[in-house]
Amino acid sequence: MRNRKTPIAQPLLALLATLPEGTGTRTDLAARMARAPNLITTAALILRRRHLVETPARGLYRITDAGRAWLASGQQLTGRTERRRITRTTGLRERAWWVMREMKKFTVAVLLHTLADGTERDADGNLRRYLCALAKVGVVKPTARRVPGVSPGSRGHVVWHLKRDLGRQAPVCRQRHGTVFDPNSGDTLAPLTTDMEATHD
Amino acid sequence: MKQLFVKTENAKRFRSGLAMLESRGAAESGLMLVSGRPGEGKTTTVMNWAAEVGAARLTAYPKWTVERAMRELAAALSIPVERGYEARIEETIAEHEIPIIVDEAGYALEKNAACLERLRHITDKSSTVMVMVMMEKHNAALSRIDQLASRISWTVEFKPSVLADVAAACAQLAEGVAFADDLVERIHRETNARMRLVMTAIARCEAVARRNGLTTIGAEHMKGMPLCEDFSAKLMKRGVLA
Repeated sequence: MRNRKTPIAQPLLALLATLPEGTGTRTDLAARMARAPNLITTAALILRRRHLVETPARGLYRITDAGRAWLASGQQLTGRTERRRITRTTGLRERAWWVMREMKKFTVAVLLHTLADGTERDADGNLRRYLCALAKVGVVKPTARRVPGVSPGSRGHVVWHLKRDLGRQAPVCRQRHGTVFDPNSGDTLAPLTTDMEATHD
Repeated sequence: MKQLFVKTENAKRFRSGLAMLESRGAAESGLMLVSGRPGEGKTTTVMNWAAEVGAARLTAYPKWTVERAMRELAAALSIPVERGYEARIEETIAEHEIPIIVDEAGYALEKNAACLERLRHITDKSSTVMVMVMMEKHNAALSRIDQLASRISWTVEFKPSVLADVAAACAQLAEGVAFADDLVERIHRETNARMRLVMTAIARCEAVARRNGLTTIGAEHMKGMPLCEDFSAKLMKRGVLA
């Protein structure tokens, strides 16, 4: 039988609401709740998944408006995962794949404007590398058109076109092998034979 | 200018609403209504969330039929349109808890909202969420369809951005330049608090600051220069629009 622990997510949320600006550090919260810091991290992740708290900086937690509304409504967080909770895709590449499928034609700037909230590490470079890897296996293709950029000396943003919609699940780059795995079909996509120049924005 | 998604008050309220919707009492009351003026960031906000949860997004248009809606839903879920595809759609949505988003849902209200009723039938059975994005003017028509209206657990109205939103956008999006309070106020006023125009104004101000080597830009630096082109505002000024 599964060992059930006392859930601390709800008390943590209530504690955050009482702190000035609804913000508390991991160590401070751990000391106040007399729990190990790693338990605070786990509970904070549960709350963050529900958008009840946010992490403005590493090791710092802040209650959101949704969190305050949650407390005000008197609802309780249970330790188990509720059936109705929507599974979330957190990776930037997975989220970018969703936008690519929606838009068919896009620039890195558009992807960032829709998805990046500033907490990602090198979101721009990450997406560029992803697109280049997908271009090598023929999933996306840079078009001849460029959208003017606002930065001085910008050569404009490359407009990418989704050539092959592989399915709901985002393709995964296997950097070591230079291939792309398609989780929808289970196939591994090898680079196209014709050499493709990597295009940079 | 940085390319970032700015968490405005509207976006926060939208997320708040979703958190409440996920913890709703009646499983079948999974409908959410998002309304507001064009250019307030409804679609971007919804897409930001939809990409996170892998939602199936449909865009309604005039003369949208149930068959077209189902075919588009099948395409969004990568389900081939063949015998029994509608049952497969229902299974996939129920299995993976995929929310459905209907953009421009006002167009789906034609013919007694047959398309929305069909989608509602799917979300009822699977207890999943359906977000309908529409303009305010369609709210009255929606309220007349009891089966749908009674299932709306949460409504998020995208209101004109507040001054704090504009200030946050300026601080987060501008690169290497700070915006003085008077300029933020002018942007808020001249863009009519519409996020789409705020972005244009920030890009223009940033370009002026860069050209003049400014680290802080104020209203005096933008004197006589337009911040954005608001087509509706121009017409209103000329008396074409009320």
